[in-house]
Amino acid sequence: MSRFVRNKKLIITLIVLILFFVILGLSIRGRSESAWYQDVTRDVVGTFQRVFAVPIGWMDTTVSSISEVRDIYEENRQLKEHLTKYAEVSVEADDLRRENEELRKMVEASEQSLRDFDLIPAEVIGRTPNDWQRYVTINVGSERGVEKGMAVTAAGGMVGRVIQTSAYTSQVQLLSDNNRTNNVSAVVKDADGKATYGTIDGFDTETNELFFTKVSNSVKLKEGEIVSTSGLGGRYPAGLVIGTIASIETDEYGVSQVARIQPEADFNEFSQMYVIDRTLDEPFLTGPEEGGAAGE
Amino acid sequence: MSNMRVFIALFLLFLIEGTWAAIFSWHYATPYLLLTLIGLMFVSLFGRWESALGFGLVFGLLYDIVYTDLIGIYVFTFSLIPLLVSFVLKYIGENFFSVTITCTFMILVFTFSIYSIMTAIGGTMMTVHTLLVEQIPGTMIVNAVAIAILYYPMTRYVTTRPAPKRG
Repeated sequence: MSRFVRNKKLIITLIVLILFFVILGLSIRGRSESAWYQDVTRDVVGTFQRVFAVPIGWMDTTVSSISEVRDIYEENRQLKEHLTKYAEVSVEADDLRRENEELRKMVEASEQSLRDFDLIPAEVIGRTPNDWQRYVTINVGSERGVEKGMAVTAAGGMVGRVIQTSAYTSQVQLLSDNNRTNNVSAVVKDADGKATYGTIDGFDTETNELFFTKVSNSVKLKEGEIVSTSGLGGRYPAGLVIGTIASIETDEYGVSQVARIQPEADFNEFSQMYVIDRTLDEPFLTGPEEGGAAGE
Repeated sequence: MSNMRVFIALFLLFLIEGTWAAIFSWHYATPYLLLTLIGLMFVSLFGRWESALGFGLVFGLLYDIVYTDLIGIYVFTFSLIPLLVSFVLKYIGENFFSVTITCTFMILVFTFSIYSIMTAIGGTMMTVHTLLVEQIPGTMIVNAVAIAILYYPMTRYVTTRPAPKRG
């Protein structure tokens, strides 16, 4: 080690300290949009991350597929069971789609609906190495049509949404991120098709459950009901599955209900993701920008 | 030339850190491997502390830009913690055990300082209990192992004093 100059260290430490507060203050102000230097840095680093993530991801999938071999027999049996129902359901779905189209023509409604979307396949190339921000970096960016606010799914359910994009990478905020701005407008439909709106807000790391909040006390939720995106607000389509209701409790003030949701997707085991590009651009003239659909 | 070598090593550690987090993350007690910080501590211990400070600023900034969207937190801690380590170990003396133990302790200091900054600016709602129970144990163990494994390769790699060359 070189000569140890204590005073010099002290001065440098102080300068660093001041610098820290200045840039922290500057960067807190405009947090939602990424600055140009962030875009450039992320694109450059993203290239290297990709080189790393590909072989390691391949190894990871190999290892996990070996451990999955044990469950394949049981899974196969279940899948066969489901398959018998599949033909029936797909015929029904075809009928309904045709009927829906005809009805739309009758009322001269637009061809597009809130449910239509395109999938942009993406791979995870990095993740924030701490627990304060649960962000994931994916290898597609604005160059492929990814935009801020789009939903991201993996293994059947919604996992999060895009919060920032650069040309070749995007940052995805997972639903398990416990930031207070992280909320998604969601809906539960009961057997009669009656919809109950609420907001997905917060995540319990111990039980691995999401919170479905702002649900009016007058509504009777049932365990096992499926929670999906409402398509109101944000840039995601309706009908993306988020999870199923595991239990119901009242909130801390007793004015509304909070349901605990068992998420459909795993927020930690994924390498392949899909960015959901809703084809319908502006469904409503006015609407909440992000989440925030009221209970009633 | 030597700086370039150190930069490449630190950049590799930086990339591995993000990939590790993408693969080894689970809901409860995720161990985060703070490889960049470990690398910086080694640079400050066995290289020149001025270069450790410079690299701390560069990689802190890179870390903030790439992984988080708040600039300043990692710039600050990444430049300060390595200086602190070299300051402490100056009095204890540098050997395998003192370095491993002190650096592991500094990981703890680092985690707490990041936590307090995040709490102060309202960036996290995690409680101290959650931090102590979920985060600290796994992170400490994984990083202690990483420091022990990296000790010999890193000391050889970053030492600026004439040292017996490998191979």
